[in-house]
Amino acid sequence: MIANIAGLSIYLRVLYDTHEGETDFSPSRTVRVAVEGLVQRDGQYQLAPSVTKELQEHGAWAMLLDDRGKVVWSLDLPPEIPLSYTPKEIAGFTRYYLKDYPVFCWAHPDGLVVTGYPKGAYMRYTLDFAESDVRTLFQYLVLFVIGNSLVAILLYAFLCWWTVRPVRPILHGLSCLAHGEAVQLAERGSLREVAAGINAASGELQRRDAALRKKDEARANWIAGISHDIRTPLSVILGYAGELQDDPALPPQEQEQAAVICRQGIRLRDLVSDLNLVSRLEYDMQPLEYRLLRAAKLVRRTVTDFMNAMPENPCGIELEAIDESIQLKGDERLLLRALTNLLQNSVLHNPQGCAIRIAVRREDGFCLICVYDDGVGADPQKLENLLNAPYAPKRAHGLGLFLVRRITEAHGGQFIAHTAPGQGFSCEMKLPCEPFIKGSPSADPF
Amino acid sequence: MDALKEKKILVVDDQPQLLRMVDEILRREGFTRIFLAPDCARAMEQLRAVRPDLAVLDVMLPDGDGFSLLQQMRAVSPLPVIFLTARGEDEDRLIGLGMGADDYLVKPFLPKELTLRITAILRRVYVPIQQEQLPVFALGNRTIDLGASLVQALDGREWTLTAKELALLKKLYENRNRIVTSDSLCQAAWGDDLYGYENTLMVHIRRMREKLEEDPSHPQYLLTARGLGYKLQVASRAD
Repeated sequence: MIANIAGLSIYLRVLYDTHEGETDFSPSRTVRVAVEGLVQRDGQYQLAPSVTKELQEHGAWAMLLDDRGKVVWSLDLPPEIPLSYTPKEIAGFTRYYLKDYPVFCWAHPDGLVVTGYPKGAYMRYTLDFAESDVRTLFQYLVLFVIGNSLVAILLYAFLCWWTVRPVRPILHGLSCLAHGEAVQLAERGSLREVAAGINAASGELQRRDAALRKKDEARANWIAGISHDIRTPLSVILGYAGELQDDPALPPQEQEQAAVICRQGIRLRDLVSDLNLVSRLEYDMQPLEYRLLRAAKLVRRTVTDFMNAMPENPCGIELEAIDESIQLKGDERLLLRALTNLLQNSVLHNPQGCAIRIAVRREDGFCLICVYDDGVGADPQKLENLLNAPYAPKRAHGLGLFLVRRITEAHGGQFIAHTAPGQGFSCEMKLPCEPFIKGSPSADPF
Repeated sequence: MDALKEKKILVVDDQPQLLRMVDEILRREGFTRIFLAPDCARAMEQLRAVRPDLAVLDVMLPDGDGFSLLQQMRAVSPLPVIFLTARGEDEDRLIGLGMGADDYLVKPFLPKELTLRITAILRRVYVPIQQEQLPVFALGNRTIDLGASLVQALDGREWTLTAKELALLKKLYENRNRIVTSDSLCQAAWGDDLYGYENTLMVHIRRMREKLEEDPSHPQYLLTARGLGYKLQVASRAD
């Protein structure tokens, strides 16, 4: 590019100079001025004094040849210059030299004015071009510019590559660092210290990461251990309480008390297993068993299991707007658990009864499983706390909804819940869905 | 049925209180020949000495885990096994069942859950096949004989059940007094889920009601659980 621009500017400069030359003190201009300044007065030729001065400043001489080749006027003519010329001689010097003097000629009304300059003052050279050459010159010029630009671009690319080359591993290292990957750069070259710094940062990050993971794992294992240890004594409690509850020898009041122990034991059992599952999901220790599921079928099964297990529940459950065609990939047991938790939530908070509506529908390419109730609702702030940090100090307790949120998120989905006092509860599990390939129920069922 | 209570049951668990509780639960249920072992070594001794008919194994034992104990036991005897697990994690369940355990129970459990599962397995394994006939049961004034695919009214009228109706009714009877989803019913009758069979299922249910109900448009026994499925309401009777 730079070479191109330089070439162009030189070309323009030459053009300008050439043009400028005509108004400057160039010999070709001077000779023209001389022609104008040479006038015949009283039979004598006289040159304007300014021109004379100009010529003399350059050490030049001048003469006027008449039509027959005779010198009729001259100024400072050197002695070796002849005073008469044949047409052949005139043709010989017009463009070049006369006795080694560079000469310039211009037509005068009375003949030809010739100015001569000291030997060696000017070099005379005439260029001749074939017309076709001049025409193709432009094509060559275009090709030249294109070629030049190409070279310039390649050169630029090469220079870029060449300057970035030592920085590239550093950039790669930084991007790895940003993604939390381990980085080990070769520490050499001018950027040795930068590479060493990145390696050190990566090492530190990895170390912290490992420590954090170890801590998380320890915490999850700790919770798993505790829930395991709680199960066996709880088995004994539930076992005897269950026996007492059914013991006809006991008075009804004591049977009822045993039933309370039993119910609370079951709550404790559910809480322990919720806690264990939450901690496993929290620390990525629960591998999801993905299977292709039909959302409508999953919902029917959950609601049926729920109603069969709790036939005396005071809430009516109604399935509405069930899109049979939605399929999703998910862990059936976890989704069943999440959905059961939503139903339990509604039933538990509305002992006086409420209407639960369930919908399965498609929205923006997602599968929406919705559970709405028209019960007592709750304070939105309390819901917010339940969903985000169920065991933060001085906040609402309970793991049910938090677990639903965790399960939904583990499936790459989103859990959206709304409530207000007296306004019921609205819960939506938004899960990524699969395209449905309609089976062929072609076999004649009759 | 009482022959089942004569079966020998081996219970292996490292918690003495739990062992004692299971022992009491089973005795109250009528089982008398109960053997207890706190670890794998004692369990194998008991296995060789008394030849139990069923074993209840804890997964975590002081001298090994329940799964390897199951392998050792299976090398000696093909007895049915129920796992008791306190972990409740899928891996354990799958390994347990994959290795040929007959059932599992997650701790804590209710006494009834344990005895029901034990009797179910004992019945399946030890009750002679000719006794395992399809049941005959009553719905109001009608008697349904699933083995003969026949519905009889008190006044002598008779209806036969088609193959699909029989499959549906068997499924409903197995889960009597509980809702069965339309999906499970279709699975039982056509080996496919509900999608595409909704109307067909409804037609079959209507025909079944004509055979089972006094007033098919106001069913009393074959009830609809709206949006979910159907329920066969059978008067509770000793079964």
